[in-house]
Amino acid sequence: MLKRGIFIGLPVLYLASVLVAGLGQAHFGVPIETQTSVGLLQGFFLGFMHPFSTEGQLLGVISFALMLGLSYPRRFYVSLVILALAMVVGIGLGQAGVYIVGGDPVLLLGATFAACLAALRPQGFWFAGVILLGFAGVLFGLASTPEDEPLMVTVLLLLGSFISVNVCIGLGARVIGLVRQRFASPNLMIGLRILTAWVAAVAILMVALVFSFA
Amino acid sequence: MFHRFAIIQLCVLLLIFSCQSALAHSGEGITGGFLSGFAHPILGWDHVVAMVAVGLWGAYLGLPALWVLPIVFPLVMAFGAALGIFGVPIPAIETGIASSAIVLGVLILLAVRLPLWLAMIIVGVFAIFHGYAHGTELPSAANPLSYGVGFVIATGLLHLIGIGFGFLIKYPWGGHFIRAGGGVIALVGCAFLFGLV
Repeated sequence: MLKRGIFIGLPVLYLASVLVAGLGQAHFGVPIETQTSVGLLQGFFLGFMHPFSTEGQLLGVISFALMLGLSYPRRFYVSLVILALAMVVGIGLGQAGVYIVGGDPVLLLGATFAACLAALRPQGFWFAGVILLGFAGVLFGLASTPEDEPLMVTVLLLLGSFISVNVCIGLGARVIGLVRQRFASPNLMIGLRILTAWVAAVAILMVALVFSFA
Repeated sequence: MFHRFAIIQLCVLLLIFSCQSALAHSGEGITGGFLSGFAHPILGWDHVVAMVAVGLWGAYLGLPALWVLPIVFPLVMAFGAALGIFGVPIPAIETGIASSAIVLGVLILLAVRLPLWLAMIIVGVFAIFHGYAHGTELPSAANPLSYGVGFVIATGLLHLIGIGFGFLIKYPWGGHFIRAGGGVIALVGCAFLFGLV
């Protein structure tokens, strides 16, 4: 059980640095082109930053972290295992040549439902959330699959992406959960749910925008 | 003392003369998108009073309306924005926005305590008008994600301001203050409805 702020400090800093780097890379960096020739280390880095490269993946990471964080510690590790397994399945499908047209908008839709579930917390919230998480894991895996890269670079890209998605969602959820436990205040929970509603609202807007262009 | 004051004056003068003109409407890039979205609800007084009214009414109704209304409003507002993005025609948007301020203001003024489900429906219906107005501007935004984040945050902060004022109800004079605030909100809504502003 976490009692003092010093233990919260490290994960918070770690999470913040990952998110800031990701956001910076996604919005100010050059576009991530997984089809170009890249080195090994660069491959891992590109894979690590890949979940922040599109609105769907970015909002997906944030929404699922909030969803798990708001129900922490209830079935937290089960959810993480489901996410990891689903992502492995998605990566496997991607390597087998499966490709979903419009995978990112669908992921955006999943992020929207996840954030709405977390904000409204209806009956059966956890069950629906886990199904969504598994679904999103497959889509994250499919979206991470590069094309026509040497085997070693492909492995590192996928490894970077796998670690990034799982660390950001898992660590983000854990930090939210630990903060909730540390400051056991109903107002904090209300604030987090309102924040989640904001994320859901942004995701709804992005869904509408993507489908209107389509 | 005088010496320190003179240095401050000198610094202020240097700052004034070294400033460049502010280009508030450049509207480019992630910052432009965010600021544009953030400013949109804040620069329209009809939006401001209605969103503050949502928070104020939520705080007046107490738990769980205190957090349910600020959750329902952005979600339905985003749905309204989606209707705007898809170009679904909704008549009398500005009338709906002004009416939201009037209705919510009157509800606060008269201290009406409606059931939660009815309060959610009222707030949700008006949120569609507000969202629609934002949504029609979204496709042209330089960075739609940043624009969306900006206007959702601005909306949420306006709700929080309303909730903050609503906490004054703890004081003996707080109830009168909140009801007077509702009256002002309704008057502003009337001014917009009849084109006086």
